[in-house]
Amino acid sequence: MHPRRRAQQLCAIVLAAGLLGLLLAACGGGGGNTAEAVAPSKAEAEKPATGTVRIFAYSDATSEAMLKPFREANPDVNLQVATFDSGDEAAAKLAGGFSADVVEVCLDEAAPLEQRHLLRPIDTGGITEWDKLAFREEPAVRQGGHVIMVPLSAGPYGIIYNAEAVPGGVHSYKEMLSEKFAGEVSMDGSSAVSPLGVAALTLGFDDPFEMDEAQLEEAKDFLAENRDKIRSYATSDSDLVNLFKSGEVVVSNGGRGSVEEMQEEGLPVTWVAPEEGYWAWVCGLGITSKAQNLPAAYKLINYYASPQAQAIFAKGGFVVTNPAADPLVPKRLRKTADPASIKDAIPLTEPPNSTAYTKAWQEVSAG
Amino acid sequence: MEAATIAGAAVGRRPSRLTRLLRPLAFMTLPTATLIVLFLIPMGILFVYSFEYGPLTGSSGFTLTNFTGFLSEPLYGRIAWTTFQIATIAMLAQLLFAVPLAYVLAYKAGRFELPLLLALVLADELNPMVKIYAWRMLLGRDGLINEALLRIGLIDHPIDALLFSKFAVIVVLSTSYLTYTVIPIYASMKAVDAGLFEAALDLGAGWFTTFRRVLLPLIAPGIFIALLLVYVPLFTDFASPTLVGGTSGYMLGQVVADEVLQNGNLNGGAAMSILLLVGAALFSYVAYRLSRVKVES
Repeated sequence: MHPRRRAQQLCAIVLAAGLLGLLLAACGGGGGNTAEAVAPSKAEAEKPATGTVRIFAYSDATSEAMLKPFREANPDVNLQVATFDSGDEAAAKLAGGFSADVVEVCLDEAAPLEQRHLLRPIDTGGITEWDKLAFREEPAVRQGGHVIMVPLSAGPYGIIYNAEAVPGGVHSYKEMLSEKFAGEVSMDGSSAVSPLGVAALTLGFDDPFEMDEAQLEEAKDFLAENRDKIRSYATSDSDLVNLFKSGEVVVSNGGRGSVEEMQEEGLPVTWVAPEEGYWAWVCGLGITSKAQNLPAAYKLINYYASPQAQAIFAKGGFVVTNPAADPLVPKRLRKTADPASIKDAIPLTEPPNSTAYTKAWQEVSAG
Repeated sequence: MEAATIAGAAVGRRPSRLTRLLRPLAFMTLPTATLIVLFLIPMGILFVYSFEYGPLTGSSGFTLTNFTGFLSEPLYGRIAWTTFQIATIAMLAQLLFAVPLAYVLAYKAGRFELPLLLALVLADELNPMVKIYAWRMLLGRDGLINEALLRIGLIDHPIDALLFSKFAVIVVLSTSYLTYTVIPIYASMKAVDAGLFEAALDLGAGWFTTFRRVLLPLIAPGIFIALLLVYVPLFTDFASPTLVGGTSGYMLGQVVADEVLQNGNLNGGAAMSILLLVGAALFSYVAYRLSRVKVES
């Protein structure tokens, strides 16, 4: 055979073998440990953390103000931070090979992480303040009898309005979607659950997160009928802030945390619980199945559950889970930081038929 | 004399068999490895994923449901139609601006040719999100355009439809990719002898006939490249419709993004992407054939 031909064949074989090998390696994924993440001993837990610890969370949970005290207390630790915009995005990235030790888990978004075996059960003996934490008995905190996350913050979802533009206030979702505010309303469109939840509450359904097919159809039709009144769907908290700031909208559904952010920027906005009812989310931290540095992971979670870190959450307008933080919370925020302030809220949970929710929302969006 | 003989022998010596075998490998290794790692492997993974059950379905193994589910759902047909309309209008709008702009750059700009070209490239270097938010400031209810129209008395109330509408999506998409439309057309124009236009004029052709019969066929390959670079990505764009589309203008790129980021259905998203890729390949083939026909004619 001609040498050039042989060389070409050799190249082709090497390339094909390399490609196949890399493809198999890349598709292999998995490999995580789903056994309980054993907490470090007391003596080890008392030492400052070392090595690298990677946290993967929403941006509001990883502000510099929040992380600085941890870094100062653990100068030898290399704390790496990555953020996401939804629990599904986090699950997709972690399943795709992204590495983190600690991940933010919200009770309404835990399913994809659980179903893909991306979390390790937590040894609550390693969480110093565990017995004090609110929401620790929420059913979704445990999966298969194991604790999968440590609840650390919560927040109600209701109506936000510009108090200068709407001096009389907005009291209900029905009013928010009336002709009075046509073209000046925004709706949280970052997930299907939020707009459909608003529709469900306005239509008087008991549980906005367990709608059956007929209710979902009704909610979808309701949103489609009211679409012309909505100026835009907000894709994130910062997008919502921009919509209010630019004067495009004067009222929207949204979380109380967003109001705190807007007030800090000088916007005259107010949050109210709508007459139809409201829901609340609960988020916390979990340990991933590929966590490499368990002592530092526990150290980080314990820091987030500490009164010091909890007070920082409170300053962001969130409900805190550790009552020991109360003395550190500014007086004006104590009421909103108290878990009792959301005792009437409907717990935000992942709908069992979440795909049907997404499909309904896509149909509304497609017009 | 002896040294020259040795050098001559060295130059004339045939490389060894092993060298001849390994030399092409050595040349090809780096570019091929780059191609494999950055392009073929991700594509291969996407392809494999598209035939797998999603992790939340409770099933495992290979399936076609990701494709059939997408193709059999009328909702996606509707979204594809909206996407086609928006992408096509945005592409036509870009060509409408890009051809005259490329003409000015290639033949009329003189010493400003390079600075203008650089300005065009630099404008594209801006962060896309910043550009989109800049458009929001321009097109918004209290934006500069509404403000100007109100001041000169052309309107009594701000035009709401400027922002959060299909119109806004088209405007933002058209401007987002303008550089990639202008440059290939400009490059193909630079290869056209300007004397041809004078000849056409001397022979009695008007400017439109000159454009249609002389310039257009000669720049067809440039337009083809522009279509490849711009029209195809327009179908998968999701940032612009999400941020300026409001309650309308929901496009296929958003469906893929929602499928992956909201549903966590990487497999469904991969199948949709593969279908879009197939559509893009078909479109590219047709565009290529058309550009060849133009050139040959």
